[in-house]
Amino acid sequence: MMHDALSSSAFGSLSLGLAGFHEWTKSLFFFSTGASSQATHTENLFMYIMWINIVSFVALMGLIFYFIAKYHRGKQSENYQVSVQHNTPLELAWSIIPLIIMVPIFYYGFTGYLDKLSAPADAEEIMVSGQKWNWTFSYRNGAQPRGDQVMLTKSNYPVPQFIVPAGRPVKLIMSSKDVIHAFYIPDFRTKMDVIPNRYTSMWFFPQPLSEQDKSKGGRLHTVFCAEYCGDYHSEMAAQMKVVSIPEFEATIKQWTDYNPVDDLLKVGSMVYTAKGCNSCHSISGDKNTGPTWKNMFGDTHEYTNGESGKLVDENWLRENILYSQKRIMKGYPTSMPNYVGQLTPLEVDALIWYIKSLSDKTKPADLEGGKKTVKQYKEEAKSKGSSN
Amino acid sequence: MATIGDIHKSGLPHHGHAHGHDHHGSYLERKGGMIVTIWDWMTTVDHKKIGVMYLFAILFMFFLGGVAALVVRTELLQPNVATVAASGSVTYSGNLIGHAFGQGENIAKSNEFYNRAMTLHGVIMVFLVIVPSVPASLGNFLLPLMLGAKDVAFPRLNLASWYVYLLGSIFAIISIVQGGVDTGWTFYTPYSTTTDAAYYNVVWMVTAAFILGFSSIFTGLNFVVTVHKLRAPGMGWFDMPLFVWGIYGAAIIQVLATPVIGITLLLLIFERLFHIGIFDPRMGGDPVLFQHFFWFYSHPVVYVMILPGMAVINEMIATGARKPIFGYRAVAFSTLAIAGISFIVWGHHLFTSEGEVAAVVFSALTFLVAIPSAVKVFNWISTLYKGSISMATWNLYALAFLWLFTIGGLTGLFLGSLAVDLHLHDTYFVVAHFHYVMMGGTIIAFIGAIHFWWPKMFGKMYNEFWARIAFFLVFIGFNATFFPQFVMGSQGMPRRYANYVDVFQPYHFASTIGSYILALGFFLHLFVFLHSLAAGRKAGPNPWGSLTLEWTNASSPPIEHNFDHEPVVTHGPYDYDNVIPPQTAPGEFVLPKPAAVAIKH
Repeated sequence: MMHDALSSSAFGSLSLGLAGFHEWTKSLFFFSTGASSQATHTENLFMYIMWINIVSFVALMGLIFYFIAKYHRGKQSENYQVSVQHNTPLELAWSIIPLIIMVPIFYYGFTGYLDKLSAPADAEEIMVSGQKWNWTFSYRNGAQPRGDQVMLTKSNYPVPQFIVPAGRPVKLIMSSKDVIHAFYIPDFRTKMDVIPNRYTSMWFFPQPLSEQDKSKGGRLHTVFCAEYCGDYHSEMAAQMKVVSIPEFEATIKQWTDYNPVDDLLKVGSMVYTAKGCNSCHSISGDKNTGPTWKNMFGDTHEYTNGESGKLVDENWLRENILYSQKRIMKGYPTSMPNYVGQLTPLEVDALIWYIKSLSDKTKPADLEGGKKTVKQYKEEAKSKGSSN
Repeated sequence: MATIGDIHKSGLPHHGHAHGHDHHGSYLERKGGMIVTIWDWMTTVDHKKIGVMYLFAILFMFFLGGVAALVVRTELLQPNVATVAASGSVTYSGNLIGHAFGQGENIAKSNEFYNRAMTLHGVIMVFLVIVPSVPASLGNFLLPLMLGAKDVAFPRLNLASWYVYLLGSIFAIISIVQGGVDTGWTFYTPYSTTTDAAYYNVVWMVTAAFILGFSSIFTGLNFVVTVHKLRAPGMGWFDMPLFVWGIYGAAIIQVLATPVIGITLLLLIFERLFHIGIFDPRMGGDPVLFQHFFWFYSHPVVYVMILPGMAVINEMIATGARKPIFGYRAVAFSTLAIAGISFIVWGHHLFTSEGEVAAVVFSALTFLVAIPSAVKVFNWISTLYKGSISMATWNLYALAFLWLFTIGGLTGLFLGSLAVDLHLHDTYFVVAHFHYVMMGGTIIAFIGAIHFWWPKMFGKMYNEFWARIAFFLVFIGFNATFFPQFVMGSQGMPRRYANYVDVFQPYHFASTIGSYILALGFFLHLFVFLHSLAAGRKAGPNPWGSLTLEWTNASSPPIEHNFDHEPVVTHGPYDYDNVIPPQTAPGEFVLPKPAAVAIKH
């Protein structure tokens, strides 16, 4: 009843108009409603500040235009008058009132910040590593995202997709391997720098999936790198997929290891995308940030340290994957980090087989070893025992 | 101290009968042939000539930085779209700049080109344009004139600062010619200590910034001493024009903060050249330390940029409304308050660096610094009340400053609020915010001020009609360029991106078109100024009816020694209620009607 009475009055239509304007402004500045509880808090604070902005701006500019209309020089003979040169109460008022208005902005900014920083103890922890120019992820059981890569921009630069559980707090523990990056999730209205030699963290609570989300198999959010990091800064993105808790558990279990029946060549091609090799090395023969893998095996190259003529063989590949900084091919930057400790022996061997398979110089007969399955590989490794 | 005393004895006009000339020529008068004239300018210690040389150098650098900005905006007109042929080879379209430089097939090269243009724009605009803009050009020209002095306190140091500026610019140009740098103007480590490892561009550019710092320190020191020691008889601290207060506040920051960036950049150079681990964690350094050092200078320097902008606004608003500045003392003290608080807010650039709870202190202080800035805006608007508001181009710029700076200041509230900053930090929202403050504030004030003092500097009037057209182009272009950036920023568009996802395209498109309109406005201004120099109407000594000393006691352009006789201050700089501006035609300017109700002062 109250509501009806209000909406029929002029005040009611004004407040409806304002509410509409509020929603319109909010939709202008945010694509979607926030995807976490902290995001909603930030949006509300944003809109509070927005209203202070709008009211102050309209009032101040209104005064200026009014003064211009009334006191422009053409009206000098009518309106130009001596006036006070200062007014202490007025000046005190316009110093103190803004201060009071700012107290809630400061206070809720602070509480929201604390909320975004302090993850609950039961949060799902995911390790995030940034390097020029891709993100890698690692789950509590050691699993790393495999398989799906997506194109966010149209520049043919694939970025990884990783999953988080809906309805469970998620804490990211992050570090960088080279320069400073920043992990920015616009839909969650938060970001944090990712710094070399140091861990930073952020957390969020992904809202449970709606029916619509479920029908699409999950909800997608974009991640950007927000701290300038060089040539592919603008392509250094990731896609976060919010999935149900059971699906999350099943997927990271499945990701802990490679499928036992896959052969090493298959594993190598998966490592190629999962570890982000493909962001610098093409397999098509095109030059990218790094040399292409097409026909690399069995070829010779020149290096910035003066070495030349060394044939690319299995040993060369192993050494240059694990200790990339040791020798740099002429004409290429020094951006590739050392991969020692970041790849399992299986992954290194699989990569070598894969690169070998990309060369025309390799005869099909030479690839037989690459047809070994993961299961066979592991059994062999086990039988070699501790001597290996 | 002895030096200052000597200048007093030998140099100041009230001892100046010794010069014994009744007629002094304009400072622009040529002393002889071309070579003599050039030598005269190169070796001059006249603050006016040094100011004019700075003005042209800064405007040239503004042109270079502007071209870099247009390159950046053009690159962002469309996102890069890759087409993968059946053979697997990739071509990129939408990559206008990449294509123009023959790099259309290689996104890495095209992104790298963008990063260099973006850095070039930032470095030039900050270190070579905005920091020196108002103080080095107009400050040099006007400070002694406004104080009734013959020159600044240390004229030779002043000339030295100009040559140091030139030297710094040469280092920057050497770096650019070698291919430029891709670090961003902030030189964040460890990116800046590792990028282009085989080249010395970064070292050249950082050295340029290091050298330019000394130019800034020399000028600041000179101004502080000048304001303290060389005020005309009768001019107390609160009789100084507010322009002087603003320049004084900025000069104090320049002297105190610039050494910090000097040592920081030196450490950066040492790390690059000699691999001393200070900032790079691989050598045991701390990358976040650099951010603290850098912003400990670079936040105060934001106020070195804005205080002189506010300083010229005071003069234009008072003359433009023919009113005393409302709350003179509040404005003067606000200037000092801003200068003081500016030293303790640097941490607000690091809210996302580590997520320290200590950020709360910096957030609180940041809101505190908003108050004196807001007070100034309120005072300026109140000054218009019952005034006689001029619609000359320079006053349109002053009014546009109020519009743009208010947007810049208000949007700072979003960024000072910790939770909201985690979302907006390093997005286009920040880019828009600081362009509204730095460009909408300082550059807009600077362009307005050049119009305002143009007749005094060169003795010529400019074409008011075309200048106004140019003003409207600049104003509309500016808002069209930067307002969409607020929107895309809060929608999630990170800054320093050579490429972007499709949803941001409409905003980038609007922004780029806006930047073209803006450029058109600036070019029109350039033509108006060139036309004025070539064929402008001769200016009277006080065309705008101002009351500060450079208008009331000096000719246009001023004579070489500024004043025929040392001026004695008999009225306040804004005493429009009681004094008809001297050196104006009778009836050209009138006194206001007495207040309807008697006013108690």
